[in-house]
Amino acid sequence: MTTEESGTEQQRPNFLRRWLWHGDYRYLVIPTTYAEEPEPEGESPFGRAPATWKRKWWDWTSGDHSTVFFYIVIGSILSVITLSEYWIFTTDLQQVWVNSSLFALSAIKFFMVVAFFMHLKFDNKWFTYLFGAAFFLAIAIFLSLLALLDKLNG
Amino acid sequence: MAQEAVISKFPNPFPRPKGYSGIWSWITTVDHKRIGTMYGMTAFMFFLVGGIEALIMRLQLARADNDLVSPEVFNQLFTMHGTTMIFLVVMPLSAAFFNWMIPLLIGARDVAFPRLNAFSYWTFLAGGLLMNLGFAFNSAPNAGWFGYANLTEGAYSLGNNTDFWVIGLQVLGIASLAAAFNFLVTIINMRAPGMSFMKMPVFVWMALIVQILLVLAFPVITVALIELQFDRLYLTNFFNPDAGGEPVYWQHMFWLFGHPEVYILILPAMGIVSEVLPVFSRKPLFGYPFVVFAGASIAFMGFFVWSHHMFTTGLGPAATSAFALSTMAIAVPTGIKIFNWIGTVWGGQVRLNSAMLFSLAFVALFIVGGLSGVTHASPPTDAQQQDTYYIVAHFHYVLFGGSLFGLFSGVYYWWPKITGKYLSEKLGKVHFWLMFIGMNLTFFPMHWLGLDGMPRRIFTYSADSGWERTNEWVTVGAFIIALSIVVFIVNFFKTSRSGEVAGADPWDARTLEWSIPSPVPVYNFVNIPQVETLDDWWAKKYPETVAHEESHDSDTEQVAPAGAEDLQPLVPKVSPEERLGEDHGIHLPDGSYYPLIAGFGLAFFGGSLMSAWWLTLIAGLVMFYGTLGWIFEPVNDPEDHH
Amino acid sequence: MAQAAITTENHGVEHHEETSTGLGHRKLLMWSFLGSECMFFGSLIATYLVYRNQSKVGPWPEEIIDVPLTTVSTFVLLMSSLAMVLALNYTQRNRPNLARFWILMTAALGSGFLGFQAFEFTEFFHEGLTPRINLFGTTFFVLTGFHGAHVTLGVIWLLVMSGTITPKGMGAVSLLATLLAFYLGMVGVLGMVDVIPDIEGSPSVIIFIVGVASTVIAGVWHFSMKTTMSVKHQAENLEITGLYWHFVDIVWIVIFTVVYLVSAGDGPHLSEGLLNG
Ligand code: HEM
Ligand SMILES: [Cu+2]
Repeated sequence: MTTEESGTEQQRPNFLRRWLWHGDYRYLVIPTTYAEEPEPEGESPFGRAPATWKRKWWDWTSGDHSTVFFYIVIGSILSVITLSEYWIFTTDLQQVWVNSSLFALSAIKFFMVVAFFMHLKFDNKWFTYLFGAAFFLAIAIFLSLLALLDKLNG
Repeated sequence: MAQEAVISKFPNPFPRPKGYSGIWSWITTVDHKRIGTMYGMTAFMFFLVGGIEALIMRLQLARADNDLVSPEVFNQLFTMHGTTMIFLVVMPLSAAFFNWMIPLLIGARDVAFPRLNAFSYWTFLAGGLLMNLGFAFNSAPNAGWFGYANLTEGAYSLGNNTDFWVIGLQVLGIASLAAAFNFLVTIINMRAPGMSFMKMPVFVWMALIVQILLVLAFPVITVALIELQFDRLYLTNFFNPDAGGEPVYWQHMFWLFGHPEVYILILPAMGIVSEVLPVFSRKPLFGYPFVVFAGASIAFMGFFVWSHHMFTTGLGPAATSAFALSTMAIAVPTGIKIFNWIGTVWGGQVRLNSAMLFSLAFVALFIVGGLSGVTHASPPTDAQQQDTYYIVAHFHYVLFGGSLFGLFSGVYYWWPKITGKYLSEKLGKVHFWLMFIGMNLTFFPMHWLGLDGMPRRIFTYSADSGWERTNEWVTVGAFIIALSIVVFIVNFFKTSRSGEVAGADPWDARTLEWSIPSPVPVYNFVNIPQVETLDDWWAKKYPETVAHEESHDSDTEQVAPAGAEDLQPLVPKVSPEERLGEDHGIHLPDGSYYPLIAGFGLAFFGGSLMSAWWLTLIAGLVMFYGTLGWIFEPVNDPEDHH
Repeated sequence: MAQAAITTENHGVEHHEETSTGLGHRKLLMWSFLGSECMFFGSLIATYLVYRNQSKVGPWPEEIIDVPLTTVSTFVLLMSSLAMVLALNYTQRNRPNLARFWILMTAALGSGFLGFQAFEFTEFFHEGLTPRINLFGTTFFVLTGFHGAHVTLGVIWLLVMSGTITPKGMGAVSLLATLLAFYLGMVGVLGMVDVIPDIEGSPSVIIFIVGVASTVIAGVWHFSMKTTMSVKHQAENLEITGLYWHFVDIVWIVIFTVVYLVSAGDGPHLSEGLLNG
């Protein structure tokens, strides 16, 4: 594994490596910011036109920035989760497992949209605290209301 | 590089008005100080209305088997009295102080969204009028300020009485929410350079906490009111037992909002008192971080105690015990604050003027109210007290003895800053003592009336109950309070004509608002101050006392030398012509008509739901127009503009 | 390579020097508003759950709820969220035409979601589920209806935003024309599914065609306004619109799970609680 920070084509030989390893750290490289300077002319609505591709199409970060491809990947993951929710719904597993995994999956979707589409992952921590505090307080209040009214365990 | 947005092609028949005099400049104003003044005046008018309602009720109850008013009218009186005092008096009076003082205390020129601020005010006014409009149709709200289902359901509450309540409250809620977002952003984002959170005056801290409570608690009542309104107007089943709906669920929703609401009512007053006590004791606030964190934890815990209003509905032993415990626990941070206030006054050079008297009385009376609160935190005791005059005594000690005394303290304290003149001290003390005596005479006997079993919300009682003599005294007390308010009004008119002129810093105070001239120029600060410490203005006046503070000397040694008037040169001198700010190159936003249109449009829209569909359509268009006009109005707000 | 393109630290994310936190007032306002909305929808969803299985008469969810259909509409709303984030992406990169295209795509997908909802509501009406008939109807329609109202507001907002980044500016005429186009498209969908009983057969088809056509024309018209005007100054405003839009989407993620997937089997029998029922 290379120890150099960022670098040239040779240091990033394949995209898998570029996604999963970053310098010395083994983690999924996600963009750290979401805004970018102007792109070159000539793109199509779905991204850059082939002639002006400067990077590999699968680069989901450009330097620190998120790219169109990054968002499309997130959107696809969300769609796949939605589909599997439907699939879980149609199986005849025990109800506890069905419901728990449905709640878990929707929580994953929820946090993915908040983190990546709403950019909380990249943005100022103030927003995370503001929204997170309100969100978890709401969860706590309404769960205690439901528990109080005996709606959680039938 | 970035060219201007071309968005101003929308027809704009009402160009932004300029200028700073005449009635229209008030109607279209976006200046936080003028809006604050309007909030204060309007709330005071509603205070008189609510007070008259209370006096009529007291006259009715002064005699056993009295028939001054009918039961129906009595129901309307206590409902409107409670609703008015909470939503149209204490909340907007607090909003008046938020408006006036938040920007001054944090060293800002205005709030973050000046037009939204105007919208809040007009929506509040329109909502208040809508709520009271019921009287004109002889159908004022009559189901209590808590609007318990299923009393409020269409089947049991015929006529439009409850509709006025539901829709009026909904509109008022929108006004409060709009103001809350505005102040929240203002406090987080517009503090003077150097003013970190732990250097913020306590009043601003309490204001911040109140806004958070508003933002989180009001949506709950919004939803509850929507549900009730749908039940009434569109025959849905939320609280309809025939279809399986549970009336008790309304109580849960209402008190989920209702308990945070009582902290929305008391925290602003606590903030004011925490400003007044140090100034008139010439000592810094004792244990500033404790006061702040106690306020924050009260707010947080306040979301988990709502069921103490519902002990007698039968929640089951586990839930009842849990809520009893959380309710008792919330008295702990409350107690911490009380000790801090006492510690502040302790050993200080106390000046007993009107502002200080009201603050000291606040502490004393709030202790009484807090203690009675702790007594009904215990479910078995509460089962005895619930729905009796004991509860009425409790919440009047905290709301009248607490919130209103605190707010009056703020009136006397900040009056010189707002108007440039002192309120008369002599009349102020008469006002205070009448109000203090009247208040205790009115509400203290209610404790024993309640323990003796006199229920609340009854329009009369029989002569052999033995309650008549006490009720007579209570009514006498109520009229003494009324007299004290008359004294205040006299004071207002007298001093506005011939009051003693006050300097910039008449109390030798501690916070930023006293570093600028009185009355305050439109732009507040010529130069935005650079803040270095808590109580920055004090530190600038008396740097030597701050050095003491840092060397951990005892509190009493921090008392500054008297004769602070010498320090007046620190305050910039501003001539009347200079007040408008153009000389300093400061540009303030122009006025706007759209907040007014949108606000009244909203209330009109709500009210029209009770009538014909075409009225709703017209009202909807007015509201929509107001909003679009607002969005497309050319921006000239310096804060908005990069 | 890509590295070379990186210039400054804060890129397109606006930094507000003049505020205490460096954050824009309006974005802070929007996030606190969304915090408040958590309590709003929290209350509505809690009401739904409290009254789940409390209805005294049918129709029951098991006879009514159509999960496959709603999975599709959930997907449509999800895709609108993707379109929204791309619109913001292109606004920040100062590509006005692409930005406008994706804004309008977001609005169109949002309208599509509303069309599904209108279709669903009509079907339910036909099957006898009304807000008055039982508690399920009451809580279902009020919860999903308020969500739909939020989506509608979002669509209008998006259209206004698309107007603010056209070179000619958003005149009253173009704003009203676009609104009308979308409105007609919606009415067309409603007409197709018989929400308006009087407009049956051919008239509703015509309205539908007119609606779709005018939507397309509005889109093409907006898209055709090729320009090099800078749209970066609208990036923060569009970001705020986007926050609202994504929030409405995540609320639907929860509603889809709670009201559809988990409750779809509810019938006259008693439920066993949130996890087992
Ligand atoms: C030490 C803190 C407090 C405790 C432990 C406490 C406890 C309680 C309890 C248990 C009740 C319900 C009594 C019943 O209906 O049977 C109650 C009612 C009430 N409290 Fe407090 N309270 C406290 C502080 C406050 C404050 C600060 C306010 C307002 C500023 C307030 C305003 C009210 C009101 C308005 C009611 C009556 C609501 C109604 O039924 O109309 N309380 N309090
Ligand atoms: Cu309470």
